Amino acid sequence: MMEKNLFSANNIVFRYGHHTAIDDVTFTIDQGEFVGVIGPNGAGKSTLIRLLAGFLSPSKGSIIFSGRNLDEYNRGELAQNIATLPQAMETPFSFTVEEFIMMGRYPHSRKGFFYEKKEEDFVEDVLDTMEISHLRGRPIDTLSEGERQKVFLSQCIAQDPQALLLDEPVSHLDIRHQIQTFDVLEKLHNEGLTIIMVLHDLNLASEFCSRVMLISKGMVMSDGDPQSVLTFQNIEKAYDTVVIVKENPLSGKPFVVPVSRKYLEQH
Amino acid sequence: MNRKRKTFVVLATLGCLLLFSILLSLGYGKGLGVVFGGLFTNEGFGLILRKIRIPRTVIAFLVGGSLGVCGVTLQSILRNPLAEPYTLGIAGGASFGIALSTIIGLQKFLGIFANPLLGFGGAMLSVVIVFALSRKRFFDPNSMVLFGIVVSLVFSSFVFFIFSLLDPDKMQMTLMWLMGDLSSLDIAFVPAYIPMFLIPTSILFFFGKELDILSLGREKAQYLGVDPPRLYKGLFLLSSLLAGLCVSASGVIGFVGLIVPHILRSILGPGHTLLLFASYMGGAFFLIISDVFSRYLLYPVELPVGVVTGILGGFILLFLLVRRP
Repeated sequence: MMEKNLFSANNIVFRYGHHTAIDDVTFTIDQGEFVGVIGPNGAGKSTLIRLLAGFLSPSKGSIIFSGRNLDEYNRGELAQNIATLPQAMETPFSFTVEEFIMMGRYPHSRKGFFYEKKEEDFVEDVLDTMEISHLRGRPIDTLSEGERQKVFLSQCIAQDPQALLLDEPVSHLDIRHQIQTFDVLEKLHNEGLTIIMVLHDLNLASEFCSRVMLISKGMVMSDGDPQSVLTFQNIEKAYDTVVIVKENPLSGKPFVVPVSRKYLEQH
Repeated sequence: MNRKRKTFVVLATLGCLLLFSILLSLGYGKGLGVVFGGLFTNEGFGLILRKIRIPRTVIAFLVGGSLGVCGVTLQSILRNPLAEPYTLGIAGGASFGIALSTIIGLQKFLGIFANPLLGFGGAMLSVVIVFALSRKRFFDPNSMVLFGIVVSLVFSSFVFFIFSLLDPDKMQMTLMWLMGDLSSLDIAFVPAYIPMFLIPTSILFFFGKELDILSLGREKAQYLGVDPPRLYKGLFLLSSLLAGLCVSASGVIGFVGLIVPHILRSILGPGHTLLLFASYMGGAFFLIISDVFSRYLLYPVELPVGVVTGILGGFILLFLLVRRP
């Protein structure tokens, strides 16, 4: 199978006022990759996701998505191809799970008062795939944090996108729901979906992502498979924290243990 | 399906209530037969119907329904279930227009046109100011609310300033109008008002899906394929236009645009396509029935209808807020 270039960022710079959040970054992401974007707070990870999602436009440089400049897409086209889950999401009204996921069909649906039958069927399939059919009638504000995250993700899946961009989708979940979410993402990835996600847990990145991008001070410090990126030298430099990197006995992937200062002083 | 049945029941109930309120408003104190008979005669009760009750009921219908739809729209865009049609400073601006027209005696020159024209002009002036201020912020809802509140306060202060200079008897009329009043509009306006109200309302009806999505916030809304700044601008403009029309026809009638969407949302759920339709019917019903109260509660004294909606609506809202878990 020939790998198709999905995103290519060419020398992109992004500034908020005088602050340079992304500083001359160049990379490409191929179709079918599962990329974990890691890095310390304030490194520019969320900004990078927002740039790839087309919410922000680079101050300099360009982002090509599927052969065309991101600026040339209109919002509807973009939403047909890229689904994005931002870090914070407001839900002031208590839509039911079904209604909420249905909004993901908006970019594909025709103008009109209601969604058509075929959109309803699509949502039905998403509910099945995500194993949340039993929640369909529940108002989203009555769900647990884990269930809510699944529903948010399902809305993105309902967009039937080529690429899924996620900004810290698991940071506030317990380990059971984290692993459940990753299992679903892995399944979607195996079906051909390209996933780019920001995450804080280095070990989850190591375990599930086929490629890890370490961002520091608005630049890509290291980029490649988990073994080559998650070395103690890279991590200590980016996070300014001492770590031990071991090997996960099950998967053979790197396993990162942060070291507290009290042990450093003993040695 | 359970939900569909519930929706049907709610809409049917609203339809019946609306029909009931219209008949009550037209035929208070008379039988159904007299009302229908009256439609075809041109004297006695027929004249009262044609010259007073029908135009007044039509205006109450249009204003009530529009306030309901405006309320839904603004609550969704501002992501605040307690927003209302006047949140963007429209009431303040309109009051200022009317107070101004009273003090410079514009009624003498413009006659019956003075209040509707100046009310609408004042409302639009406040909208233009809020818009001009919000442009730099890409029509961000939070800053629009803040600008709206400030603009409204400034205008209200000007109104009180004008009041402090006015004759007490001149003040009476302006005051009535400020409280929301369906009795002072000249019936000559009614035919012109019908399309002016119905066009913006019918456009708003088509934005249910977009309102659902906009309620998730600007960033997520954009990811779902809408263009938030453009929609905010268009929808604010349409609902401000409608609210301005309402104020020009009947003064500042409070609480309709607040509690009607609030109650219906708690029954029907937040899906905006249905909520827009239901709130139109609910708003029309609420204002028509309040108008009946205002006419006959202290008969022969007539209350400003805004006082009735305010007291009735205020108590209902308090009850709902206290009961909410």
